[in-house]
Amino acid sequence: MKFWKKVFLYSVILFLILENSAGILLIQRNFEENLKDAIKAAMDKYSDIEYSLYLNVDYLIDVDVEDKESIKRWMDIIIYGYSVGDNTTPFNIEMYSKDNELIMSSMKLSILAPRPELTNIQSGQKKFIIRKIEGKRYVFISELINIKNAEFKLILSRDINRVYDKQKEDYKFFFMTEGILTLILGIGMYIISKHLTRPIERLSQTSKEIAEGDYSKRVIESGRRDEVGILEKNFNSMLEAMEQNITQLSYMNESKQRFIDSLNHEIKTPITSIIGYSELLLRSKVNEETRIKALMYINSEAKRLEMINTALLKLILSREGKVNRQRISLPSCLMSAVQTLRYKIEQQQIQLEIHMEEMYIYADKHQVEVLLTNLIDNAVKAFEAKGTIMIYTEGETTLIIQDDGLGIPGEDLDKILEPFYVVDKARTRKQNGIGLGLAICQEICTHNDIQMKIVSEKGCGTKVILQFHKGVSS
Amino acid sequence: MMQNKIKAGVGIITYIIAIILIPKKYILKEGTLYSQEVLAEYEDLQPNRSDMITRMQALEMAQNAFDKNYGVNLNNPKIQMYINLYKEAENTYKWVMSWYDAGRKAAYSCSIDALSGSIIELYANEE
Repeated sequence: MKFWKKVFLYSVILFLILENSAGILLIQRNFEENLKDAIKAAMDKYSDIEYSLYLNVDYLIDVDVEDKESIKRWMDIIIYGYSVGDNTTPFNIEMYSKDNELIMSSMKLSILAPRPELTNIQSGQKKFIIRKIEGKRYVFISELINIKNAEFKLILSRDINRVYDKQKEDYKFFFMTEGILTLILGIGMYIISKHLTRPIERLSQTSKEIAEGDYSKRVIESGRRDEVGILEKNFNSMLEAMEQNITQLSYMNESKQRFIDSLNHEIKTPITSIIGYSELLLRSKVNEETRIKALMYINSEAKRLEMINTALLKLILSREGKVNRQRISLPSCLMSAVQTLRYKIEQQQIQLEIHMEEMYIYADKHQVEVLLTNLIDNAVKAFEAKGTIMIYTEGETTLIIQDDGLGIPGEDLDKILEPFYVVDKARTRKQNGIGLGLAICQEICTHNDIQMKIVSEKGCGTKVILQFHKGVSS
Repeated sequence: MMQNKIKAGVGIITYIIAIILIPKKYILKEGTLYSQEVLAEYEDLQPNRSDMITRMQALEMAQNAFDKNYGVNLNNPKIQMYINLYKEAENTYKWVMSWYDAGRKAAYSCSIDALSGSIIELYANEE
């Protein structure tokens, strides 16, 4: 069953149960009170007649209590001759002797049922019974009274059907009202439940579409400030984060694939050369010159393989190796890196300008030296002929390595940090590069909390900005 | 799930039965004889018959009062008399008597508490 139907059905059922309970209880309680009031009123009337009889015992003193006719006449005078109490509501009087012999009766109805009010009568205590005669309900009140030392059974009966009629009317009115209210409630609850569950339906539909692969799908936010509104917002935020993660995962997957492809290519090329030349040497009778040339190729390609292996090892170590971060002097690291590359710089007649003051950073000394060596080496490789490399600081924690070399095309900028990615393959191979330098730099930066930004434009040089984590004190 | 539905169904049915049956237990049934005691708020003051002022006693008291206070003898067959018994409030009854003496064009009235015997009002109008 759908959620809105459940909300609708349960609320209508609950309403019906509670309303019926409250209504029935109220009507029954009201009926009971009215019934008791009607019986009490009949009892009051009985008391009035009883008082009238006692107050007139000396009237018509010659009344013979043994003579039924005489008693009947006396009773008529007393009962109907005074203005005691409420005479507007009709009532019937029956009088019996102690032996249940009828003395007088104003009752016009015949009672066929047993009469316990006559047989179980008591003096000083009124008894009553409700009886249905000819479709109407009457209350019969009885008591044993004493007149002139003779005991009589006096019974008063009164029509109380109006109480039962009132109950019927109350029930009719209640069920009619209930019907109307249930209809209104039903319509109201239908609208409310549909309105409340519509966003949930939308969420459900959207999640279904996402499950089918449409990650760009978003829930139309209703703008509510309730839990559903918050859920819609959170749902969209979740989708946003999920889509970003998927994109990132996809990119990583592509990078991984590119890495495998590049690695395969980088390894396969020298191996193919080695196999080719070695087979040539094994199967053919070559002259000395060709043999030496082949051996040189084999040696050169084997060295390249070793270089790839060393670089890969460095990359793995920089990813998984332990980092010993401490307060170190950045100029000292820079000098070490420059010292390593001094021969190369001088050979290419590159002008190196360094403008920096003492700066302390919090990082692994060896890794920072590798980072700076790779970056300066990249700057050196960026020149066709001679040029200038500028190394300078900005503020307390920023180091900039800038060259006016070839620069990097815009479309390659976001990929240059990937392993084996090279902008110009021929040129890189010529310079004995394999495209792992910047990937290693990136790993070092990640492990040492260094932010690296590369700004470059083809033909205008490259600027590498390194933002270090500040040392304890400078 | 099914167990919850069964529990809810049993709960609702029990509730409905209780709602229908509980009030019936306290309702006065037809054909059953009850004592006045079942009517909790009903108080039946049984009359103390020795203190009651009967009709003849009330007449005698009123005639004596008029004789004593106004020197009027109302025990005369020529004087018209009217007597009634009224109920003023719960268990409060009074005798109301009036006389008319056509010869003297005089009217007299007296009301007496039927349960205590105190004279409530004594009135004489003589031209």
